[in-house]
Amino acid sequence: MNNTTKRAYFLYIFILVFIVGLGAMVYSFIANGGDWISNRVNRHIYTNGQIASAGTIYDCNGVALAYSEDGVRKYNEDSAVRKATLHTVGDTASYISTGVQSVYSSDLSGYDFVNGVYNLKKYNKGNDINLTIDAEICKKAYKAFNGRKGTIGVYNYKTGEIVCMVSCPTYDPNNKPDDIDTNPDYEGVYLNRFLSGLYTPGSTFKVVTAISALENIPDIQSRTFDCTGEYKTGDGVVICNNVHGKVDFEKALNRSCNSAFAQIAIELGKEKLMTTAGELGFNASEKINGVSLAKSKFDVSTTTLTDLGWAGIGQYTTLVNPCHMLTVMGAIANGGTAVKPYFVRDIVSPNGNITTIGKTENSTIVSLDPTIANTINKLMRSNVVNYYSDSTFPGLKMCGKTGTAQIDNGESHSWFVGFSQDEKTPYAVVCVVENAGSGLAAAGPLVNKVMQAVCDK
Amino acid sequence: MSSNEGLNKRFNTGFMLCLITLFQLVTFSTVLFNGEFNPILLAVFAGYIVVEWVYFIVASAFCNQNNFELEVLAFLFSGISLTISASVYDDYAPKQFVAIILGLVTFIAMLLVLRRTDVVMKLRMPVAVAAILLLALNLALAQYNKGAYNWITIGGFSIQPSEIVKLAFIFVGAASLDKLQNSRSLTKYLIFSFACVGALFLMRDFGTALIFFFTFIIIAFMRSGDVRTIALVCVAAALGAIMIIYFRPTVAARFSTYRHIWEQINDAGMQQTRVLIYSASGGLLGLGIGNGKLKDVFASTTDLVFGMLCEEWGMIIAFTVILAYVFILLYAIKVARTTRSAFYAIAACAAAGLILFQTGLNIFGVTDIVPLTGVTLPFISRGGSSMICSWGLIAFIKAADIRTYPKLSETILPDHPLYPPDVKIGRKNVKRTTATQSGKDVPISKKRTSAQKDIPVGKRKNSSGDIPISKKK
Repeated sequence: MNNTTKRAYFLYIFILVFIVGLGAMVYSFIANGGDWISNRVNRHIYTNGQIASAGTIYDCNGVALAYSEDGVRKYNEDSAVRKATLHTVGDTASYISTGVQSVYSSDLSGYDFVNGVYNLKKYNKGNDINLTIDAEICKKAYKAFNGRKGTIGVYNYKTGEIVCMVSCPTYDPNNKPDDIDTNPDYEGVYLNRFLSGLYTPGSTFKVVTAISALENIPDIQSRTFDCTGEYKTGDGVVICNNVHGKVDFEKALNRSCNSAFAQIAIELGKEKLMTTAGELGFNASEKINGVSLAKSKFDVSTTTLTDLGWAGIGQYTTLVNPCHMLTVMGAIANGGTAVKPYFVRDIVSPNGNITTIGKTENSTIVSLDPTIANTINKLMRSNVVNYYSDSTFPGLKMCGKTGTAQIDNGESHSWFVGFSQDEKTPYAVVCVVENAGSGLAAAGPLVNKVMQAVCDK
Repeated sequence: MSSNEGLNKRFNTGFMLCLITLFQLVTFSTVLFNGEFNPILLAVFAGYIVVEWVYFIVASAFCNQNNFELEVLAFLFSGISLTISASVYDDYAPKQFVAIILGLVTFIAMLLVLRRTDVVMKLRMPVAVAAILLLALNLALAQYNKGAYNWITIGGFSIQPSEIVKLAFIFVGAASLDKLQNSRSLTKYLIFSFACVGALFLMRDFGTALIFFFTFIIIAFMRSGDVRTIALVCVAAALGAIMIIYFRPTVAARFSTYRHIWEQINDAGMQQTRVLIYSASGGLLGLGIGNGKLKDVFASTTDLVFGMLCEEWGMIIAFTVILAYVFILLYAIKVARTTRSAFYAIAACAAAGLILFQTGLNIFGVTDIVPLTGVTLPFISRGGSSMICSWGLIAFIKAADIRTYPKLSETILPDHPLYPPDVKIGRKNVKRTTATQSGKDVPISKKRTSAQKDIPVGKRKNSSGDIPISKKK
């Protein structure tokens, strides 16, 4: 009898297993509840596959970009604004997975772990989301692309707020084209090129090579380089875009001399170049507002000298994510402190509770020495003053670097990366225009239009 | 127990009952005033509260019952099931009410039978035969339902025989294995168990088969205490399961949805994904009775009822209910420690273990933590067979509680194998003066020697502890 009842204690083990199972269940509810309720089959939130009564998405001026009315998801009345903000806001059917409507769908529906979707049922309205982007500026940027593909992003390098983020091609969510899946003009239309795109950086990468040189070669600024239109690496040739003759470090950057930078890259060697790239956030992942950025790639560990030279001028296998590049520009502009960009400011519940989402915080992957930041800052200012000319950016104190990235098939991608040195307009910009040729010719005027609008704010 | 203490107990029970009635008034009225007024619904709800109070008043005033922990829980849970049924479809409520009444009747009838261990011993074989026949009948008349053949319809009533057989399984198991020293009774019980589990496999009711197997393990282990034998049985069962999966891929296919529910969101994973989506939508506090969306999903009030609890009643109530099942098992372990004979101890632990195991299969199944087997949540799921089984199971636990039969010694025959010469109450051994209607009083020492001659299954533990007399301490 005693033994019999003692044996009952083995049931405690069973109870323990049961409790562990309950714990696992509670944990998965807390961890995944938001994802689960955002599923399109949840009829509390979706009717006929539409987010029926989700909250409104506002730009920084309180302009409604997307809202729900009578169970239907609607978008801003201006077609150009709709197209310009499509990738940021996202579409109704969540084809654009990085859009706010996808990433924040559980918040838009008013979900939280304690109340579930109760607030949505009570107010028939989810939480509103305030963004940092300016719809009017995005519209100007979209128009400036004029049908070309590419992306532009502008952010305040002191606070991290993204004021402009546009990805082309785009489409009107109110009038989705029928041939969107077949027409090559819409290739990659669901991709936000700013957050998820990867481009060959071309000469904009010379900024990274220059930073590595400043870190590792003490007398780099007093060196001179002889450019004959090409540089013989020993096992091959790196072609320059011009015959620059005798140039110093500053002039080499001004004129984007391939001979000089291939030589510098080879002198630095694979390891030092990769160390600098790693410190600047290459091959590392970062998440902004719930979106994982595409990882910038730089790997020269197994290259020939020639390819190392090509890599030093932004060719070879190197790929850069525009948003990551923007953070690097921010670090240079902000005295070495890289502020992480964000575009979701806060979430406002129907009863007025505000949850701040976007905060000024430092990038986890980009770090830069302040003295080197200041030196490269001056060099990039010199690029504009001495080479691109301030008249390209009238009234702005722009610093920058252009790039003309050669790609395997088709016309080169046109790049401009830079920032305003003016304390009153602390904005950094990254712009890529695909297959548009020379950086200064294509991206330059586009950047000017957008920066003028941003700095006029 | 002093009269003061008794009064105190009665007051506590009365207070508990008032709280439960209040809870039911709130939940019932939510359903009543949601939509068009239905007088039948009002009658059902009022009738239910009346039944509760009548049971408690009659039991405490005329049957010397002072302890109602189990009944309070059972009535609370049955009330929740009644509310959920009514909130989905008005017509479910009267049926469910009848099911609860049948459950209560089963509970009382079983308490009357379990009081007489001599009757229990006599009923053992007839019950076992009846259970096998019932399962055979089920196999003969099987109706295909949700991928299993575990329903039969008799005269317009659908019943699930395996639910009733659960009660028989514990009844026969605890009574037979009380004398497991006798290897013949062990063999008989093994054959009985194998027949039950085999029949369930043929019905493709793998969830219930697993429940029977788990219950068998509890009963066999508690009697023999032989870890090696139990391990052997488990390994054999696991091998058998692997063989079945290997040779019958269709069986394995039934479980292919497990951990892949989101990939099959609108077919095989429909039920689990909806449970997760709508449970999370409910939050801690719930959306309110009748405001859910899970109720429109197939089997919402039966297999998926845990999701409805989460969505409409909130996770706080849902998890409180689940924890209550844990407390039922803890309660059973506690009463088993002081009960009169091994029969009661084994039956109580097996019944409570079965309830918690089935609860686990249900709630972890619908949330994709374990494969979905389609078993019901005891008491809460809608359905007559399940409700009757749940009430019957707690009768085993109630019977083991020493306070249930305060005058037991007057009714039991002293020469019976289950006859307890000593009854432990609390920690003290109280010598009982026994009525000797038969006039034949066997000395205790003699009984012990006879019992020791039998060799238990677990050879190492052949001490006197295996005889059903609580002498040692």
